[in-house]
Amino acid sequence: MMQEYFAALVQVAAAAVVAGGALAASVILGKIGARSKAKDTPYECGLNPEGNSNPRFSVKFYLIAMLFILFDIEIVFLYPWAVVYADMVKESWVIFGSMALFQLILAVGFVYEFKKGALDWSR
Amino acid sequence: MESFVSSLVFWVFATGLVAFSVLTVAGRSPVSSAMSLVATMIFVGGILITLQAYFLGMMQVMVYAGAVMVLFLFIIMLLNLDQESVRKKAWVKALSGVALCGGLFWILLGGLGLGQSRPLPPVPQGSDIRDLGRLLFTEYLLPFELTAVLLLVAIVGVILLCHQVRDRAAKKGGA
Amino acid sequence: MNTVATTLFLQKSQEPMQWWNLPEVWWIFVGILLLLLEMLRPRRNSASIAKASIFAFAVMLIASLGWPTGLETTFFGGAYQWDGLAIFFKRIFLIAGLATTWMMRKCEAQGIQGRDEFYILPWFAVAAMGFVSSVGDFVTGFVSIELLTVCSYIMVAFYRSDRFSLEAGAKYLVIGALSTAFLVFGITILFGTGGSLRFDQLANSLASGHQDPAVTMGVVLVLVGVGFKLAAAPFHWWAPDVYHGAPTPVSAFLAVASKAAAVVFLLRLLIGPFAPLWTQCQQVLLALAGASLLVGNLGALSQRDVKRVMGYSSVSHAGFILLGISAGSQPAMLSVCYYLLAYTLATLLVFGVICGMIDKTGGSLMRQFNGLAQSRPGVAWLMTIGMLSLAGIPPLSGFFGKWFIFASVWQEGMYVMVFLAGFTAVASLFYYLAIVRHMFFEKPADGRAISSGLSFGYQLLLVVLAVATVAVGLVPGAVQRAIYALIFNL
Repeated sequence: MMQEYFAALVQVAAAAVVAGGALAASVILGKIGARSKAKDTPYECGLNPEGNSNPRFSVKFYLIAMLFILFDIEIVFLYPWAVVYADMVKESWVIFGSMALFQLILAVGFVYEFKKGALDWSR
Repeated sequence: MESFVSSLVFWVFATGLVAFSVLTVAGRSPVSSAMSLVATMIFVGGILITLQAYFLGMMQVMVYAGAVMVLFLFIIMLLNLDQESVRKKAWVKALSGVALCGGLFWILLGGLGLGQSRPLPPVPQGSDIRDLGRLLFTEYLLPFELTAVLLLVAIVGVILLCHQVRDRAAKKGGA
Repeated sequence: MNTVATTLFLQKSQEPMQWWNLPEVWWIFVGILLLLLEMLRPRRNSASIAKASIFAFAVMLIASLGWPTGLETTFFGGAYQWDGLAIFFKRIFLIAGLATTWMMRKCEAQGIQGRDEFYILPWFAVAAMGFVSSVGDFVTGFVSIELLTVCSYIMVAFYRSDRFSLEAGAKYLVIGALSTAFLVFGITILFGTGGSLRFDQLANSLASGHQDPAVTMGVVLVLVGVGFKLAAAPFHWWAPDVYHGAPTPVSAFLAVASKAAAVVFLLRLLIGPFAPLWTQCQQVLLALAGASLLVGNLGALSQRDVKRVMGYSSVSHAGFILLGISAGSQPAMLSVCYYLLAYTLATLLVFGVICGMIDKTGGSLMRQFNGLAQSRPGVAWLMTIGMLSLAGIPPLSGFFGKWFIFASVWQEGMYVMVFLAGFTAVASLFYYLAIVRHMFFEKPADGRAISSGLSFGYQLLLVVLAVATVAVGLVPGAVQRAIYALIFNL
């Protein structure tokens, strides 16, 4: 079983070597040239850089990310459902009904988001 | 060959897991701590895959490394946390943390009986996602549907607690 | 053979009861319906949602009288058990939900305008607790407890512009996550050793391997997780802070319903998977009970805020309940149920008075109750009834609750615990009577934040709770016989 994944492991190792090699090379080669404070500042079309490099994010991003995760979890349940559906629907329609109910309950949440304007960026 | 590859993969992932969890705790910049945590999650997913729980491994990467960590990063950027300037040496806290970790390790060692042989539940042969799906939609149908309600309540909670309501004045008039 | 259908529908049917008849299914349905109503109605009108919610709770409480008693069935292939114990606790949850929603109406002036989900969230919480009371496997138990906890987080932090409420919400969130971690770790270990998550199967496999240290670890970790939910010492620190900061109706809900849910989960575990490990569980429970009695009753003595006093008081009552559970006999289980009923009524009464009298959010200092007996004697007497019942003064139900628990613990020969509990019960008199003293014998301070008037409906709620507190104490034998008949199917 694990044999099939050996190739994936090799790929991960190759990625690590390439990324690590690039970092190491830049450190080794970069030390050769002279460094100064002016050289280390980010280049902004010749102007002096202003402000913080990581500005504060609006809480709106957080709200969207949070709502995304909740529906992400829903997707997690959809994978096993999709895999077993064809088999289990022959036994009974419960498998269809259960996912329909699940989706229906979450659809209420989706409508709630809409109605409260949580998806409206301008508010 | 099979067992050699398996154990090699396990040791690669386990070493990475430990290394990056130490970095998560020890790092000074919140962002690099968070990124180390992402790496930790990915290695946990890798270990799950070596245990032949492919679906769980992928979910670990998708949900935790992909989605939950995004929240962490948003929070860090939202609060605009800078590097920890001075690290306080709180020996009592450090010691109690070590004691807690030691206690949990002891539970795993003594409680789970390292070295004792114990019959483990049989590993499902074939596709784990198929077995999981079958269990989820027969035996665990009730908790599955309850999860939908849980997610619904979570959506309501997120909007109630995070959503900025602009037209509060208008609503006050209506209420 | 149609396997899916057989797991769905009940197995040994005597009554035409199907899964869509289950009360929790209806409660969730009502919650979703109210939510849809809230978001789809054309004109904002807070009163309509609140009234609909209260009305629906009343209807469901009346409908609960028609539930089939004396019948034990399981649904969803054993994940849901319908029996007398479940019915008793489901009714307690409905009473708590009704009273909480009623109290929430009073909070309308306190910054929840236009956010009527406040009246809807109790429905999901009550449904979650209903599932907890019927739980038959660890997955269902875990998901239901999480649903309850998520509802509680939202309700605790509901006054999001109030820093006390936010602080309480943050604390409750962290503690909730911690207790969930303990619970899940314990469940994982039990699953690893027992090989099943279903209570009946787990009981069988744990019975054979109970010398295994891993099983002990799993049991202790699960009990720690439940101890957090129960606010039992030493897992109680969150209770005073959270009760203090949360909106008062929510404090009442946590003190009554959330605690009752933890109690019924504990009972389900003890009569289910943990039954073969009773001696180990008993030691843990006794330790928790002793610590809770001491910490709760002594900690409350130095408090100046009524809601904090109630926080510590709820810790001490958790101690009494755990003491009753650790006696482990059939009469002990009955006395625990009686105690819980008395505690529910009196606590709801006390929080109802606090919620009615204190307009401000955040604190509710004892000073603010100074001279209440002169300005509003009726309310002062209602508060006194609640306090005396919690303290355990003879004609009231709280006294008989304590009495039954002491008697059943004495029968099991645990004399030291009875003396400890008796001593702490006497200590508790001081802080309960301190509030009574403030109401009756202190001069009213100027600029106090005592509310001017109570609506007729609110007065009705308080009077009904007070009458119930007295009535349950007047006929303790009859009430206990009724509980006995309900739980043991006679």
